[in-house]
Amino acid sequence: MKKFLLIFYLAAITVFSQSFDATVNKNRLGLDDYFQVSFTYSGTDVNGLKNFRAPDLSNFIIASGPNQSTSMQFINGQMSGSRGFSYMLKPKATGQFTIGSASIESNGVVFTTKPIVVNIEKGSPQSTQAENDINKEIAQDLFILAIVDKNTALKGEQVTVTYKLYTRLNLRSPQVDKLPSYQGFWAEDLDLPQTITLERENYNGKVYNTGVLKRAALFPTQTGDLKVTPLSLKIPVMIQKKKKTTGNPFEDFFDDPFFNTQTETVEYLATSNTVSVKVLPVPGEESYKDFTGAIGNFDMIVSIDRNTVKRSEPLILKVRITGYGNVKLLELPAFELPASIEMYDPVITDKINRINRVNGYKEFEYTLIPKSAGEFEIPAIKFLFYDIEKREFVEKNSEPIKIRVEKGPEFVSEDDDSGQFQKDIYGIKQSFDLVKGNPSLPYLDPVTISFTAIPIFAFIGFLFYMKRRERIYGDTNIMRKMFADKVAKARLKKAAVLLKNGVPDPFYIEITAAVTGYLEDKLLIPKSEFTHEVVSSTLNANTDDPELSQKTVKFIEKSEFIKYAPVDDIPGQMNQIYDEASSLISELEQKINFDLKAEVVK
Amino acid sequence: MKLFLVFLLFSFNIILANDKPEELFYKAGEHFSQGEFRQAATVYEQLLSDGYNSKSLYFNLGNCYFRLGNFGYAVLYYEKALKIDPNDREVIHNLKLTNAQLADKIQAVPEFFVYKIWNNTAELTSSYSWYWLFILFLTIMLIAIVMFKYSKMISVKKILFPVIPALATLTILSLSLSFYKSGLENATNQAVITANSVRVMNAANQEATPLFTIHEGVKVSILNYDAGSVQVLLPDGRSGWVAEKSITII
Repeated sequence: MKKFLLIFYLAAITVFSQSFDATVNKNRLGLDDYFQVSFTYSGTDVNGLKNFRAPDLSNFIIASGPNQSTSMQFINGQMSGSRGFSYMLKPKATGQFTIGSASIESNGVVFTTKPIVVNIEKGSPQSTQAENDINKEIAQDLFILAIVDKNTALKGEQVTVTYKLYTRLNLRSPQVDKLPSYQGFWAEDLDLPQTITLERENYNGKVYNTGVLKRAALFPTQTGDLKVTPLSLKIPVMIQKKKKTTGNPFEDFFDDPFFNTQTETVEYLATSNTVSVKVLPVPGEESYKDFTGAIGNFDMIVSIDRNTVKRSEPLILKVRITGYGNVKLLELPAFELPASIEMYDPVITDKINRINRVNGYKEFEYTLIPKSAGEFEIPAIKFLFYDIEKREFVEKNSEPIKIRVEKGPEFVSEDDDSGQFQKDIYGIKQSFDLVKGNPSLPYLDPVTISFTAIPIFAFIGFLFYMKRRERIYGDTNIMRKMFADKVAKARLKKAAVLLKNGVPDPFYIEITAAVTGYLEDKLLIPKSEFTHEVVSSTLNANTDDPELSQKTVKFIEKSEFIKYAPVDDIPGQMNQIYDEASSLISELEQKINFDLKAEVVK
Repeated sequence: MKLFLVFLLFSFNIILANDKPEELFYKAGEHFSQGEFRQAATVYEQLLSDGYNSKSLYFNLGNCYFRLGNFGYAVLYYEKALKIDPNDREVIHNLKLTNAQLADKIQAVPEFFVYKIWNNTAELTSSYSWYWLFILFLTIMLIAIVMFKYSKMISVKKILFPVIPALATLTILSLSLSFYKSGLENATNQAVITANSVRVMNAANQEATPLFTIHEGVKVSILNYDAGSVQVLLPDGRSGWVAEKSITII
């Protein structure tokens, strides 16, 4: 950590010139304290350094070092940097010591540091002397002890570690700062009462209130010296406020704790001791190759759910191991089954009671499927463990189990049309039909949606068409208007025949009827009201061309005049009249406003 | 020269990786016919992971796992094949044969007969086919309505009068079947136990107690998800919680 701080510190200052300095993090320190001395080179060419020579440090114990650290930076394209060499040192004796000069060579130039003087004092002087005093005082009256029930154990044997709080002070509820780590152990926290009850105990001649904080059962999983790291608690401690004594007897009197109820809370970090356990291998382990590390005292129960079974029906074989010891770590040695019995992976359950000695059970549940009929025997299951009390290996053997497998119903298929049932699966399909992606939904597919829309729209369209048709054909006025042109043309045709035959009278009647009939139909003028004035006014109302009405009225007058007072046939007159009538009708047809849509809506 | 060889090898690998799905499919078939079921399964699995699927692919993969003795996955892929085509006789046969090999002989609870009829009808064909039928019935019905309304012949009206409601029923029925079938085709609530042995618990939490044990190949319906566990319903009506990783969705 200090190394990193150093790097950051050095990186913060911009160095262009070269220098080589020695620094210590403290000049005054106690005999038990550690301190750091660093020799730092700053300059442009950090990589070209060589021949670092440390001063004589034989007056100190070197705890670590030399630790090297390098930092570099670029400013305006120029590289600069620093390299530090640091030592963690511990004093050997009290007194004044001098750390001599260190030297380093850079590009042929040798740099040296100035010597540093360090004062070593007894104890551990610190800046906050008062606080330290308080901590020291508290430490005598409040501490945590880690106690193991045995310092030597076999691999797999239970070691119980108890963390006990010793106190003579007023405490508030503590907070866990750091939990112990149980490296190399399988640990199981033992159950403790919810509240810590304090008991009085004499320890080193003083009476303390003690309480069990934590208790754990540890099962070593490896041999050698195993350590349990300490438990740290942050404990708020209530202490009395100190007052400076002034020599005034009255004040001394009132300074008595009875009167002085002023207290303050100090947070104290209590750390337990580190305990170590020597773990030995189980004696004679090598000669038992079935031994899987079970230590304690166990019993084995093997049971099967039934002894008679039909072929292909499942059997449940349960192997339960109960007892004291490393229950969770138990393994069951594999056992051989007759070849025709198929075995599935066991389902494992365990239950553990955590009171003082860990005990409980572990159950292996196997499912067996006999694949052929007959008498079979499940061989004895062997379970080997080391009895921790008798100090010897114990082997538990189950009774062999006899099972009878009856012929079950043959597999029959209902859709067997060939009469002979195929006992094997059908082979693979060779037709390539791979598709990418997931199947889509038919009612979200554009193709199917459009195919749904076609008949529906066709249906609606047809209904509308039929409705319109009914409306038109059901209205005589619209019909008259629509077919006025056709009726007139039919009359003209008749007139044309008469013209050919040279029959003037009926010809003129037909021509007049064609024009007047057309106007009656188109303008919806009743026959009784058909006068020249009505014709011209309705025509004017229905056309944009004022000349048309005059022209029409003129023609009517003319044709009527000829009809009622037939002049001797002027050659070509009939033809002329005919042409006039047909062109007039087509002109009228063009110019009279007629909007079928509007008529239908009306 | 060496470099060239390395390059050749490298490019060969790339060609292999870019094999056409047809080639991979037939290659897997060759592996299968030579008894190399593991290799065949690997190639089919690769096609699956490339995003391909089909009835044949699932069926063939199911066959591979059947031959390898992994009946849980065999059931899974046969069921996937049936999801695409519920009427393939070969798939149905192989699935039945696989079910006979399973550790658990679970008797399905008989379904309510109306539901059974409805389900069997829906399984007759795919959701698309049901939809095309719907379009067909709809068109015929609309034509019949038009004819009924505008025909001047009393005999036509007499014939059409009972036909139209029948057609309307068929139209609604085929549309409902299409919806129902597409629900089945896209369902994700059916799964197969693919772990070897599974303990079924009474709850999803740590303190749950075991109810019973089931083994690979059992088809289950998923009822609920909770914190890495799923509540499953067995065909015989029992239900409980199992670890999510012990099942695979069909």
